[in-house]
Amino acid sequence: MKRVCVIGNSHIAALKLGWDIIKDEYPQIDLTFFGSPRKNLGDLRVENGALVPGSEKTLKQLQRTSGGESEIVAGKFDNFLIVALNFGVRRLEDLYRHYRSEEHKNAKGANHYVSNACFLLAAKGHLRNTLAFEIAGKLKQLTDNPIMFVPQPFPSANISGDPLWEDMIQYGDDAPIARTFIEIASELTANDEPVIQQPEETKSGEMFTKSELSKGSKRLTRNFNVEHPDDDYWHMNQDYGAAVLRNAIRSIEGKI
Amino acid sequence: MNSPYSGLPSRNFWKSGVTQQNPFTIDSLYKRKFDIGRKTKIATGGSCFAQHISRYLRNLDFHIIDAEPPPPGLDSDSAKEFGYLLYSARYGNIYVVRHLLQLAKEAYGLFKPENWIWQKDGRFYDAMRPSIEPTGLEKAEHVARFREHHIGKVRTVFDNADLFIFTLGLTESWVDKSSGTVYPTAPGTIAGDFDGNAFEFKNFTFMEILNDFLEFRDLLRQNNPTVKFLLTVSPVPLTATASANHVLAATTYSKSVLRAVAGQLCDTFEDVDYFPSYEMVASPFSRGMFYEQNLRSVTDMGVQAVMRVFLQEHVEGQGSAPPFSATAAPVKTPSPTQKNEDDVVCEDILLEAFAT
Repeated sequence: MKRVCVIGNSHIAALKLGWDIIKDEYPQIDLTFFGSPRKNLGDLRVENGALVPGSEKTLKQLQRTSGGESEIVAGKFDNFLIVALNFGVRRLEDLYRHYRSEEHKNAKGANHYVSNACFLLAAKGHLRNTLAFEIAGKLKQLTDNPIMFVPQPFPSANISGDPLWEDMIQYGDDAPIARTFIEIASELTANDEPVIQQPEETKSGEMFTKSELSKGSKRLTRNFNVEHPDDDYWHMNQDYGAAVLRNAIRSIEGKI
Repeated sequence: MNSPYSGLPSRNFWKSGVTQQNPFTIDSLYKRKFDIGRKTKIATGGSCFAQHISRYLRNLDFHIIDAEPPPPGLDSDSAKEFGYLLYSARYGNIYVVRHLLQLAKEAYGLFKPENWIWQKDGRFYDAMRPSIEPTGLEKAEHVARFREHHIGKVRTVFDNADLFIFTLGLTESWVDKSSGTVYPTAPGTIAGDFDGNAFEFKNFTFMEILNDFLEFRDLLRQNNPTVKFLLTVSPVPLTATASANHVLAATTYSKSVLRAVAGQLCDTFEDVDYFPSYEMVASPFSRGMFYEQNLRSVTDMGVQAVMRVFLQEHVEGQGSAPPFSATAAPVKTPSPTQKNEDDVVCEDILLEAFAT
């Protein structure tokens, strides 16, 4: 039995619901979910072999999502999946909002131009400066067991209403941004910080998630009974979660 | 017996003003002409020694204009490699005043450099700031687009500065023969190829440098009438000279001319001050201890000693800050032998590769 710890923010809901669908296929895998909004998970601290919540609110959320665990005891798990926590292509918005590289065509709002090399280096740093890597760093103080990163999904293919993304798509800058993220994810994987790349069957083109996978996505609430609004193009549903977990389990079992 | 020297303060005499003074505690070496406070919008530029001044003032929360900040995610070492956090825009080192004048004229639409996109290994470089993209760009048109954007940022720096701190670095430069465009590095050093038919060596004279700065000052003041200037001379010797002189003689000539120009400007204009960092580091006063073993790079201890004198006048002198020892806290105190060459970006050090 592989005991897998899944730590994440709102995006963990899709994985939890997806696991409910597929868990019978994986009797050799046991998943425990620890979910809480990103702002709360920032207060996890290393203490006596565990990640310990720093507030009552975080404690309750971890207990609720994990089935009663009040802390994340590293020794209980063989593998760790860190879900989203700012790690994903959306993080590159911050860069693209003001900085454009050589290969970007959209000049709207471009305050600064940088080489592809500079953009890539900044993107790497910006992706590493996320709570996902902060928590991974804390876990590494407690365990040598594998830690894998599950990024935020690419946005839904029907994303609209966001001028930055609309311009990015109109000028064809979406594909270079996606490639930048994938290149960094591949490099992290090659350097022993494995990233579970988004399954190809969930993608629409290079940059997007099939729009049907964002329909009916659920919030990280007590009974997962509240849906994200229709104009949320970033959270995905249980089918997406199941596909991602299949990929993750293949990686855990060394089949990728 | 009366003497015009009797009654002069101790700072006027070598023995009491220098021999008996400690470089780390000297007083009254510099008297400010005008106030510089933490709200003063400061633009910086010049040779690589200016990076030390810029870095110190930034660390001490002076308002250093940064029209081209680094992108999020770029650590400070990488940022410097890409020309960020060095000066008020990504113009890199400006060693000679003609280059500064060219930059200002370009910012105000009065100049276009010629023969300024250089190549190396199939990549394209902005010859006016060749080190800011260490591996160049993929296409020449990208270099042109980036420069156009950069020049717009430079103009905002010149338009908005209350104070322009400029470190005069060199008199020697390389020039495009046909247009007179001056480059910060010799062709073939970082990028480009040296062609004796296209480029020529130029050692600027006192009058040329003085006139260039006067033109620069006029241009800035036309667009920003209240801007003031603080000049320093870099104490960093030449890495190499292309003149017929020995590099030591060439260095002395170069620094002497620059020091004389700075003195002339400071004596003539109320809005131009001179800060004697050169004297502190390069004169017998410091007994050579502010240089690294290469007798060229300035130690961080030297920079600290220089900045103490500066801050004594511009922070303590205004009663608005704690003593230097406290204000300098953000900068780690180095051991006397600690090297800091890596802290600044100097293209001319590359010339050492040509030494036999």
